[in-house]
Amino acid sequence: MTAGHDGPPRPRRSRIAWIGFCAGCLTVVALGVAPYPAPSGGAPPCATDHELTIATSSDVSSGSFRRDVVDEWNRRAGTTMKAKLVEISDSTDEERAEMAAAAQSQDCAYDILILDVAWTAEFARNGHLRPLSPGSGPGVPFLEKALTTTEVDGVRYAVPFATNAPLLFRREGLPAPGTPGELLRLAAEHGYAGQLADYEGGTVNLLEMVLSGGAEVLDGDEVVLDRPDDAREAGEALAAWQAALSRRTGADALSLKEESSLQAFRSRQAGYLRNWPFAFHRLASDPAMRDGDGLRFAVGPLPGTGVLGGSNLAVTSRSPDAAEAERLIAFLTTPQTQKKLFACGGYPPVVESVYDDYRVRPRTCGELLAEGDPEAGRPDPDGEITAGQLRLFADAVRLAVRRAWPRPPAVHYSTFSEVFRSCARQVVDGALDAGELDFPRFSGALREALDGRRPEHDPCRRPTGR
Amino acid sequence: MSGDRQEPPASPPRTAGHRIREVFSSLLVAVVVERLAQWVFDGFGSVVASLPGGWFTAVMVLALPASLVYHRRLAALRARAAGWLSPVTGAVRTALSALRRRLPRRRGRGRAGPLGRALRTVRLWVAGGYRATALGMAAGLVVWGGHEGVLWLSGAYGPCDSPRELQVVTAPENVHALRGAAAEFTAGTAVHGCLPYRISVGAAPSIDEMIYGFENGWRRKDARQEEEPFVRLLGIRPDAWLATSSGEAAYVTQRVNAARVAFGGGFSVARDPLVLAMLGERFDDMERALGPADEGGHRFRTLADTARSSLQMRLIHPQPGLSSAGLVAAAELARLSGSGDVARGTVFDESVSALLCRFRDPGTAERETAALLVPAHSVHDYNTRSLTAEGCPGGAPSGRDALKAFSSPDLSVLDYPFHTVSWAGQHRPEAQRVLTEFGRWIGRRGLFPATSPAWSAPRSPQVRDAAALHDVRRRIERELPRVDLHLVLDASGSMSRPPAALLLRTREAFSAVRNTLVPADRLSLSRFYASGDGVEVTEPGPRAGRDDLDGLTQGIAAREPGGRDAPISAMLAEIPRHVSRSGATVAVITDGGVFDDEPDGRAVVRALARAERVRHLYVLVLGDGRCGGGPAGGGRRAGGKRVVCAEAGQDLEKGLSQMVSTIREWS
Repeated sequence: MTAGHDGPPRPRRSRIAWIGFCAGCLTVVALGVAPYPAPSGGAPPCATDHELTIATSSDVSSGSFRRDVVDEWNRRAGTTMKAKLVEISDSTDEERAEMAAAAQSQDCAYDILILDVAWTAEFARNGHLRPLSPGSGPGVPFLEKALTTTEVDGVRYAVPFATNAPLLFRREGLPAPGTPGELLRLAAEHGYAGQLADYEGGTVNLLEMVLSGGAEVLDGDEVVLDRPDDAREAGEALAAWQAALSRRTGADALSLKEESSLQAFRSRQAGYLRNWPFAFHRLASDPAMRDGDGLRFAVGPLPGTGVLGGSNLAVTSRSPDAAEAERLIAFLTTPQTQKKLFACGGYPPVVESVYDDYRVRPRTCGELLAEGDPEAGRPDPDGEITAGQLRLFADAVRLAVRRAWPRPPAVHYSTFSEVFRSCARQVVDGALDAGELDFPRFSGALREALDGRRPEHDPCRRPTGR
Repeated sequence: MSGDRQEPPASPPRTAGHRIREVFSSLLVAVVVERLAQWVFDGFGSVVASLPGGWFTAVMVLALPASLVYHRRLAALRARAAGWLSPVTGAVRTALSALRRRLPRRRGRGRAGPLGRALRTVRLWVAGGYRATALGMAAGLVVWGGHEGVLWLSGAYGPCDSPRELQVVTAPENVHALRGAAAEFTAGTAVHGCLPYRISVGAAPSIDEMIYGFENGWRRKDARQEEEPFVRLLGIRPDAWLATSSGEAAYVTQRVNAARVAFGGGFSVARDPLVLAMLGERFDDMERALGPADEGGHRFRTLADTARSSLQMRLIHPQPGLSSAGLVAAAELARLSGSGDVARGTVFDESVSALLCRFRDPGTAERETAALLVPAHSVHDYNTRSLTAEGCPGGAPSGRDALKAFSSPDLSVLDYPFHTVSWAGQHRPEAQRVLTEFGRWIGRRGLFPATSPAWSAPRSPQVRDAAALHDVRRRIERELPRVDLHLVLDASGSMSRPPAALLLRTREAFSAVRNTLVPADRLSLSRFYASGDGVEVTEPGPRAGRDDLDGLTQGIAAREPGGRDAPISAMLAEIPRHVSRSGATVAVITDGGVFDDEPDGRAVVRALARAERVRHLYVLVLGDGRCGGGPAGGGRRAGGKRVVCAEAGQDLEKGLSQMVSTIREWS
């Protein structure tokens, strides 16, 4: 570098050098502090299309009764804005991905989301949901457990729509297990169908096995599975299930999902079925599972601890019709609508009074439909689920919900779920001995997963030394 | 330079050893350069991408030491460049001199003019500024590195942001491989363990559904009643599409309005040939029948002729209307040009995965007599993993259940073009950029597991283009036997009432039937139920073809009178009055309740034998219902007429497609 007399004076060059140095240094440090590209903000506000669009999963398996209640909203007097369901997919993973992608791209596609309870925190914390105005909802008491899933950081973002808790179905003549230990024994003896395939349903079933075995997975937001007692109980529970399932149902037990497990129960491959409440309507309306007006199966809450499921209704943060959307949500959660969804569609109600009513005056789907539309209510004498059966079903669901454990309201719940399942499933599968499951390492991976980090190495086993 | 320059010594004669060494060293250099380039793109590239400022910072900082280390060479380069540019710089100098002569002279002016001095000053400022900035960035990297190191040591990274959701669709048989690739790609982009992107992979619908979906916001084509408050999507709305072949991609993109969806990319990311697969024993039989192969394998015509004539096998592929690989396979059979080849090969399965899954079932009747024309990677998937990801029950086949495949040098190689998708009104440049990167990355990494060397051998691409695929579709439509079908719905309460609501579900599943029909097919619809002591069979609506199917489809779930279950035999006694043409096949769609009063099916067979104008009977039992002791799945005969009862389970689309396909075989 030459400093010819033609060049700029030295003090000025020195100043330029310092400015360049500082600018370079600060730029790199500033970019390093903000590693992610910020989401593209500043999208223009959405204009109303004078219609409320509700994003949801496919509704075919439940008789599509949600469409009927939306249709009822559209036809009722006083409705100023009609509603439309957009059914995304049968797959809950695809449903979540589509909703999240639409929200991230600041799309105006949806006004209301029917969210799985496990996703509400993620959508709320990412700013995709609008806090509900105080007093929204039908003004009736909800099930407390269901209501807890709608609040995130002390703010209510959603209203419960349908709750879910595991039920245990058993073929007629088989004893009802009172404890998880008894269930294990009977499962080994008569066959058991749960949902242990590699998907979210598998996580739920595995969590239930661990929790019912006496272990705690989380204490508040903290993973505590590496506490010695919890680790021991979790390992024993998973090992016991591995033994029970391998005795009777073999490798197929690990590939079952909701529908396939229901079919295994119907076809007598399993004497006991763990499933969600939707299965009651399917089985109770199946001629092969009926005996005249009676049922060839019994139902009750799953012994031990179940995992709470269900769905919430939430208004998207970009909806231009939020007030009208809240009115629709209030309609969908009135006791009358919830009763129809329960009796006709098999959706467990979220309103306390519906359960109370079913104890005193249970009513069938046909009776409820006939109230509003005599043409619609044509109960088929050959196969309708009776009022008494619905009362027993309602009691079982209520009890199951009271016992259920809510999944952690974490933004990265899906990562937590994948990591938990990856290890626990290996034990139940027999691919990993319970004694080899490294609980401190596993718990560390679960903590990282709650922050959204996936393990780079095997989270289940100790690294093999030389 | 001396005048008596000596001739250079003659080079020694090149021996074979020299030449081998040269070839070897050239190969070695080529491999090293290729590996280095790969590392720059992949390994080093991912490190650089994780730096603050990415490639910009890396180039700025690395250029500084490089310029210091190589300043002599750079100076020589600069001198050489000055020589090359001398005509230009000379012209500029001349122009500047001319300009200077016209300007008034100023006193005290030195050798260089003010412009020259200013340029020199600016150059020095820029050079000094660059060095200082680059040094500053290097210092910034040190500070940032220290900060990262402390965070790493203390484990104090905060929670990750939620990843950006990106969505890709591809044919069902590619979903597993693409999901694996997506997981690996996104893991490679992780920063401090956080994934900046999540790529969801969904199954693409059929070609026609896809065209409709792209034109209509990814909505399914449903024949809904007016005012019905719902629409159904075709799954995740794609940001990218991995097509099976460039012919398929062109077929779709040419038919989609560019104002609704813009497609980008279109580069090939994988290559996989079609092969002819069969059970191991049949493969051995075929090898014996074929004799020794030409170089590269037997011609496809030889394979097809041998399989058909010597082994009495049927060459099958998924439905061309539903599966892109099936369509390319049909084009291959069409190339053999034997009349009926294409029609004979079509089976009802909607995808390669569905075909393989059905084939794996030991109860499948045609396992010994069928040869599957499918992509090579699907055969590998069939043999090595259990296809559970595709919803196939059971474990991986072994031993005699495994498939072996013949490749052929003149069978199509699927080229898997990767397209980004931009929907009108959506602005997602980052999604497009990342997905393009993803596509390029797949191209370098490969999508499918390594198959046998014969399959991966280079060959001339024979991917059928859009026009060829269009032609083969039309040809299939001409050659397939015509279906004349009278649907009779069980209109009992259990079919229409929640929770099963089977009539509603049948209507929705009917969109799949549309894709299995050809223009000449004709369908009509009526209902039957018990009324009083007899059976009521409603007057059928007008006969509908593929292109005017909506009215018939809507009629399936229309609110019309219904009643209790009625026996099929009683319906068959009534139905001839409603079937206007002789020779129609009657298909009963029921939940199985109709068998309550005639459990053994003998009355049905007798009634069918007596029913004039009814050619055959197909009973499709939906949902949880069973055929029971009714007409057996294998079929019965009723005086030359066929009777079959099939259980659809919960997959109504498959059940209905299979029904149409079976009835077509009877035609």
